[in-house]
Parts: sequence; C-alpha cells; structure tokens
Amino acid sequence: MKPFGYENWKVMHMPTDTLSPVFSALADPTRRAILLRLMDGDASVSELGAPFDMSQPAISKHLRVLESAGLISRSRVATARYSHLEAKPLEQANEWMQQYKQFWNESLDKLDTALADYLNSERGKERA
Amino acid sequence: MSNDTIPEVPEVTDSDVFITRAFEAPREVVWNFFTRPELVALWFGPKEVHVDPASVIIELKVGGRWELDMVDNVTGERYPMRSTLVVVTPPEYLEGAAEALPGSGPQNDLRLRIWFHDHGAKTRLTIHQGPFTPEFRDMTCLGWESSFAKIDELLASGIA
Repeated sequence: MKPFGYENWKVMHMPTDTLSPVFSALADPTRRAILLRLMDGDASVSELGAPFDMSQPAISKHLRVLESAGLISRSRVATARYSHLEAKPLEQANEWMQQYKQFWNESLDKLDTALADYLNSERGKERA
Repeated sequence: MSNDTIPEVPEVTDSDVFITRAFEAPREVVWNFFTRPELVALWFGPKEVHVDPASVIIELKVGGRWELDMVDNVTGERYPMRSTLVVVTPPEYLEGAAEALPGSGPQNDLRLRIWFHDHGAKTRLTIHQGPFTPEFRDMTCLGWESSFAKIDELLASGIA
C-alpha cells in the first residue's frame, strides 16, 4: 500500500454515482459468479447460464445489470451475444475498499495509543 | 432512518468493508474520542498525517457538521474531510454522511457507521463504511474477499 497522500484522499472521495451501481451489481451472488466465469474469457448467454438452474431470460437480466454498471460489455457474433469482462470498475471499487480499510486500520492504531496516553494521564491526575 | 434507530451489527464483520477492534478504555471515553474536537485531533487519519486542531468542527446533533482537515506531516498539504451527522446515539452509535468532494454536499449513500459496544472492561468498535444502496445494505459480505483476491490477480497479470 502506498503511503497516504492526495491520490488516496481522491480515491476516498470518489463520487458514489460511479461506485454505487458497481456495488449494487456485485451484491448478487449469481452476478459475482458470472464475473468470475468471465475472468476465464468471453462467454455466450447459454454458456454463462449453464452452471445455474435459471432461465435464459433471468441470466440476460443479470447481464443487463452488469452491463449498465459498466462491469461487462456485450457483442454479437452471428446469433449469439458474447459478454466481456470490463475490469476498470472492479479495480476502482477494490481500490476504494482497500483505501478505506488502510485508512481505518492506521487511524485506529493511533486511537489505541491516544487512548492509552489519555487514560495514563487521567490516572496520574487522580494520584496527584 | 430515524434518529433513534441503531442498525444491527451484521453477522459477518471480518469482510473488507467492516473493521472491528477492541480498545482498553471505557465506552464513554472511546465515544468522546470520536465526538470531542480536542480528542479527535489527537488521532484521526493515517500515519502520514495529523489533524489541524483548529480545523475540527463537531456539532453533536442530527444534521450537525463533523469536519476536520488532515495535514501531511511532510509536505503540509491539507486533506479536508467534510461530513454531516445522520444518527447520534451516545455512547452507542454514530452515523455520518460524507461529502464525495468538499463542497459537493453530503451523499446519502456514502455513509460511515460506528457502533460502540462494551466488551468486558474494553470497548469494541465496529466500523462500516460504504455506499449503502439497498442491495448493499442487506447483503452479507461473504464472497467479497475471495472475489477481490481473484480480481487483484487478474489485474496484476495484465489480462483485463
């Protein structure tokens, strides 16, 4: 992890209208499974639906959610529609989460020290 | 969300978006370290920064401001944090809505939620930060860690 600086601050202030659709799309286990499958390469609707007990229209609906979040792009080859993983929004969401995790872990380390110092000085006052 | 509603701490708290930790201090003291300007200034922010004590504004009420500037220890560059308090339940629960960029106004779904629990003689803090769309708010966060680990590998390998 990079030391905290302007770039990190900027990531933490990423407008949520970019991130919210991505997190919403990722909130569903089927859609996460579809994304993981697409990491192995582009796939058609029927290929993507094969592991699930789900109708093709239901799979297509999930694909539309992923597409509107910018997580996949789709192209037509003959009669089949192929989905392609777009990694950028995932990378942004991951960066955002990692940034907050690091921010809070480091802040709470400092809180721990500050609390100990504070309580020690309070105890000192009581004794005096 | 009304003023006196404290959401349950979700069962899965070891995921990316949750941070939980116990502190050797009474709950009221830990609460004060989040709500009293002179105490917040002692610790808030990553290790490369400190808080400008004069910049801290905390209005401890619903709709009140919770603001401060972090200052880079080396360059002196300032990193403002601007948020509005949404739920204030001393000394149990604090919820704020952050501005995406200072001046942009609070965003409803960029929330910080902090629970303060007694944990024997200690205090347990649970922090949840996220864009809380309805789907995201209700989900259990299982599966994220492994999904993101794979994504990291993928990005590192330059495939995407």
